[in-house]
Amino acid sequence: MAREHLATAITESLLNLVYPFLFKKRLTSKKAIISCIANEYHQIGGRMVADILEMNGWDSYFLGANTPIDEMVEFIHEIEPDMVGLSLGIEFNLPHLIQAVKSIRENFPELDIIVGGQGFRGDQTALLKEFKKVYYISSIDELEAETWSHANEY
Amino acid sequence: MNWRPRHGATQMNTEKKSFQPDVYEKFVEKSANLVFVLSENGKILKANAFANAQLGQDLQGRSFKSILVNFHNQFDLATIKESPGKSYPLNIKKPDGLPQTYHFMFEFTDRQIIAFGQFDHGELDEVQKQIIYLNEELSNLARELHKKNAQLHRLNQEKNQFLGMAAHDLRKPIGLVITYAEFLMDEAAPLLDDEQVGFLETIHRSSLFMKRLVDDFLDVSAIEAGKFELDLQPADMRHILDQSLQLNEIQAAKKGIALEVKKATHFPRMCMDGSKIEQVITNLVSNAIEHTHPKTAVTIHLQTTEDGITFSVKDQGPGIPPEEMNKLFKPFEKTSTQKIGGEKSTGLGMIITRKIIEAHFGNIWVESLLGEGTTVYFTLPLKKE
Repeated sequence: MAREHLATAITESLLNLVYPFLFKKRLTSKKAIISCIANEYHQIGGRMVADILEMNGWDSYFLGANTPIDEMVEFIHEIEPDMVGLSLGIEFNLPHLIQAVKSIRENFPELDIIVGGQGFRGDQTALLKEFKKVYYISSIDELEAETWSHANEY
Repeated sequence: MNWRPRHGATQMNTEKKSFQPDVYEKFVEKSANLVFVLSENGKILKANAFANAQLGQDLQGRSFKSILVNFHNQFDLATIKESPGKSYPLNIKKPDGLPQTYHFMFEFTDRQIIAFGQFDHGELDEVQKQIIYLNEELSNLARELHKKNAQLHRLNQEKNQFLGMAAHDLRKPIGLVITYAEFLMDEAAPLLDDEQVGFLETIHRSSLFMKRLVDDFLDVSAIEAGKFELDLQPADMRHILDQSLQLNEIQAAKKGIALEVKKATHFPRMCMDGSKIEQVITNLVSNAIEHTHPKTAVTIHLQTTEDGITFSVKDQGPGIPPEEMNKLFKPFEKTSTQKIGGEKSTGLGMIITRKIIEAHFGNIWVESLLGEGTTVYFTLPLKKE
């Protein structure tokens, strides 16, 4: 466990090193909010997603680990993003993710939601099929391809 | 298959033996928990090795209460005795002065009390969680800070671009207003009454101020956009000074102010952007004239040193209050010191001056005494051609 935390801290400090170059360009007016769901403390994947979006010219807001759904909904109201991304680090947090998707959908029926993370390795995406405009993104490559196409499409 | 022990091998002794008190002693002594034997009145009769190590001293003879952090003033062995088997979170004072929580249980015998303290792993876990959480928060805030910095940088660039464009487009019409105002003042003044001449002079004065403002804006936007470049050429500093003073002499004469110039007889030829250094000298001398009382003098010194040259200009004005000296090189900041003739200031002249001097690897500074006046110095290092 200690090694995992150390590795996380090192990775986060490495991510910090690229920030002076990451935020320089703004290629699209698209905005995204990326967040870990309630009870999800593994934030590094979500942060990478936010950074990849930023690298591709989006304006991305990263809310961090364990974000209460009410606060997330409030922030969506404030920022009015084009997309929300939810990160699932651990499979057993799936009910929290479903709850988050439900709340967002109730408040924002047309908002695009992307989901992803190590918690989906067991292929739990079937549970998301009942929601429209919720997309599972399986890799960083797929994320880049999707965000590029969306950035150009809007 | 019959199994027999090999010859000479010792057969296991399966006879049950009760542990001897010394075995308990050994475990207690080696245990990574705090173990104390206390007297009835709470004095430590014995402490295990771990307790002595944790508290950093021999504890025998001290009161148990004295090893606790003093917010346990309510600690009372008589009360504890009434609730046997209960666990008490108590903080011991470690040698580094920090408290450490242990969960204590107390066993009362006839004449002694055994106190057994277990380390609070929950507290450590909580601290670890908080550190990880804070580290992540710090990381997220660093991300946000970089993002905001990038946004500010972009906005600043846009502002400079806008400023540059606006100033550039304003320069030409202002120039026309000045030219026509001067033409009318020269050619049409005899046809005008005093009030109308006054109007013309106001138009002319205001237009000159606007032109100076626009020129300063253009300089500042070029500096901030990183487009400020020097055209370095071998130059004669005396010649530059003379050219600068030609403009200032007219201004000084109008106010009855003498320009006292003291300069060395020999100057090395130096590499500099002559027109920008001329701009600096004109600006500093002009400022000095504007701050000097009429019928006095502005003193200008130009000296050579081993490292280059030192220029200074001293006015005989009211001086700058010490607490306002730091405003001098901040954009749009103005000190409370009024110009004697009520002239307007853009608040940008000193910024531009400093940028030009620093771009030449020189230094600029100001000394001022209230009631006596202000002296501005700058140095330029010697750069051979």
